[in-house]
Amino acid sequence: MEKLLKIAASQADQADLYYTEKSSDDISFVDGKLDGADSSLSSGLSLRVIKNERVGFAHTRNLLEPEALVSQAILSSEYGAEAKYKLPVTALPAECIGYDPAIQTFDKKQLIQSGNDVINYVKSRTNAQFNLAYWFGTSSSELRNTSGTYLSRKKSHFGVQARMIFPGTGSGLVTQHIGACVCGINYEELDEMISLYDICQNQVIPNTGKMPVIFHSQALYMLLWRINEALHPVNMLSGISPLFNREGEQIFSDKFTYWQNPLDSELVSATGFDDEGSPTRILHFFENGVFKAIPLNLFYANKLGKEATGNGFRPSIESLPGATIINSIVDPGSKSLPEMISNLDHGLIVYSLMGAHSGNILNGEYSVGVASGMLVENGKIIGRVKDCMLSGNIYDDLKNIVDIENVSHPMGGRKLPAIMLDGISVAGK
Amino acid sequence: MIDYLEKMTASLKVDYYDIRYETKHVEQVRINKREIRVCDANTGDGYVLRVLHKGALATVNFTRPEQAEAAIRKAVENAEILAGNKVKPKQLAPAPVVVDTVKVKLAEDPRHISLGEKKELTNAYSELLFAQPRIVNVDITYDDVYRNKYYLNSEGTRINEELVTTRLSGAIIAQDGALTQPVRFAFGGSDGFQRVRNREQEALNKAKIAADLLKAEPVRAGTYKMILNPGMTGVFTHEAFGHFSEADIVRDLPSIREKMKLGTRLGLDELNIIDDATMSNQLGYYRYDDEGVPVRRVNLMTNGVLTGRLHDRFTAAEMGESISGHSIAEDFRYAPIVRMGCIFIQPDRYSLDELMASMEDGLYIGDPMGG
Repeated sequence: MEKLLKIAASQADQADLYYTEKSSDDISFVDGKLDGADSSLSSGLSLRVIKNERVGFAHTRNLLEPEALVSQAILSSEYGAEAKYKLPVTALPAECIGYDPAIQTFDKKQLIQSGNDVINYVKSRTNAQFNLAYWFGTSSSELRNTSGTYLSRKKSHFGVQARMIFPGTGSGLVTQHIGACVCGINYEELDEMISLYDICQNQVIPNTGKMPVIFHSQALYMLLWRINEALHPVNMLSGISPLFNREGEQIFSDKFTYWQNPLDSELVSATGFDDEGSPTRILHFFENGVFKAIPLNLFYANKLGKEATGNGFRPSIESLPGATIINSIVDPGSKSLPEMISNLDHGLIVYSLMGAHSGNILNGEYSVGVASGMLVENGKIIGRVKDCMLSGNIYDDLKNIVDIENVSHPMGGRKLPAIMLDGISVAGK
Repeated sequence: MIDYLEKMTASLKVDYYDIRYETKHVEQVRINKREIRVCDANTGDGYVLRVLHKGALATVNFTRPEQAEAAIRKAVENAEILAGNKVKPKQLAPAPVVVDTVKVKLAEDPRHISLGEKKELTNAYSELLFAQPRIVNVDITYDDVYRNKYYLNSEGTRINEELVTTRLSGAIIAQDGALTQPVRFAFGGSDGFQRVRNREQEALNKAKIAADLLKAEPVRAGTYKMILNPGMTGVFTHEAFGHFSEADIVRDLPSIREKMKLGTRLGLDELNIIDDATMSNQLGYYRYDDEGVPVRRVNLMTNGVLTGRLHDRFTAAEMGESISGHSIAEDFRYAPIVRMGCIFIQPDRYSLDELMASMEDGLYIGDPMGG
């Protein structure tokens, strides 16, 4: 690594080198039976060079010739994106936030035993098709740059997902936990899933019209996706974001606070520095509905004349750092989910949606099928909805927040509550 | 490389194994708002090993050759664990032993075109589209992908297949005040760089649609007769029908398996749906799948009745149907799963104008946004 950076430094004005090594395992049970046990061992490195204020990029899985990799990066800098920024000088100790070394030597046989226990418990109580999956692993990363920064981090993850599938569909109910340490699904959660599944045996088609809808924490990502697109600096730079030039404006209901806490160790991505070496920070995107800030990496910070916010993360070694929100949180409100349901006279609660990636996302529009959702009448869930779609625009709908659940549930990279919105267009009968 | 893979797996004592090593070279240019964001050429590589041992299948993917020993150990250990838990034994449907080398045939080879020329071409499209009325952003990506796959299995199959795809895709965004309208476009194929040349008129048509959409009336909720354009038909066929023709999805969802029994009528007499990955002008083209099985054209629906399904060797054996060569991995990082090659609806007897005339009032659906 050091040698490679030296070669790069001799040919470019600046350079950084990001190396990552990962090991992961997964175990799956399909329809109540053990089905698969697979593993992955991967590694790779990416090299960014900045030469004549242009960025060059190269990556490899197997470093055979360091000189060739550097030449590749230098060649790409001839045509590369403008880079008028300085790579940061950051000094932090080796990081182990969210790292449980026990996961490296975790006993799969023991996990399969726990899985079989869960399945036997569920099978004795319901005929539902039940799938169960575990996945776990560790990773280590290192970042070096020509400004003298050397940073390293180790991480671990452990996930478990239980699914009960509605007959004749591919969708169903999901309970999932993801964290840095070993976790499981408890029997109370399974009991809740089973009783909801039983209610879902009753299928209803709701009437077309506007009504209140509770977006369960598992379905909230659909709305956040549209917000994140508007917050992305590429759309600010182009001037096409609906939030362009609107800092300080009340955009959504004052009940809505959306922010990131990179050091929240309950979330698996927790880290003190991003993948280009900038320190991460707490950042409020919306505070009580008022638009405050956007996430920035070095590139966009420089373009927009602002300071980087430590959001330069790479989805893989094949990419330059983007501007990515990390450990996002929607603040909880005051009512529990059962209270929210019991206060609802006529409306829906939706758990999962189909087609969240379609529509004019940047404009805040959505038009989605309900994969898993229930009709609520007089404060009670009475059945699962079928042939039902929701549509609207977040810039109208998030002004009409009725309630937010009093818990933000850790969901791997996010902490989200359920949110009840009024006046959502529902297409049904 | 095949010899190297043979040496790497020589110590394996299992019922069946296969290993795939692949290099993937990607050249890409991305221009957003007239500025270059990405312009690079890179290669990745890696291995995927699968073992069938005591009736259990386990997969390990790995990056570096020195990890091979650990990968083999893990694969056998995973299979032992599965077998110890009495998983339903997996069987392989018989497949021909193939020894073949498939070199790519291209009208114009993108590997012989410089990154600079690719940048110029992408930039020319970007500038052309930017000059159109109401267009405020063009986010355009050119990429070509050269995959060189080496595959061997313990039955004696040894294949080296090259695949090259070339593609130009992007979003054109029109704006009027606070309203923006994006329209996406994509051109490409597996038979050469010429696929992305001379497509200016098609790109301009998309820019016009984006601008026209700014003045579009919102559609009123209701029930309509609709004609779907080919893009929308493609997405609909792929998502709503095609995925349920993939045998691994059907296998894992018993209630869908019942719905998708061969011989079931699901459509009108006029409806014929085919998967054909052997058309070299399409992005989904290949000769052999990632189990070394030659891909064949499959009539999934014939005159409205289910007549075929896409399989890997395991699902074909389990469901007692014929292999089709549809075990496909996205690249060297993944184990293969059953996926469509190139799915389409066979044209029938009416022209678009005739369909329009027969519809009276209704909607004509242009391209989808997302799937």
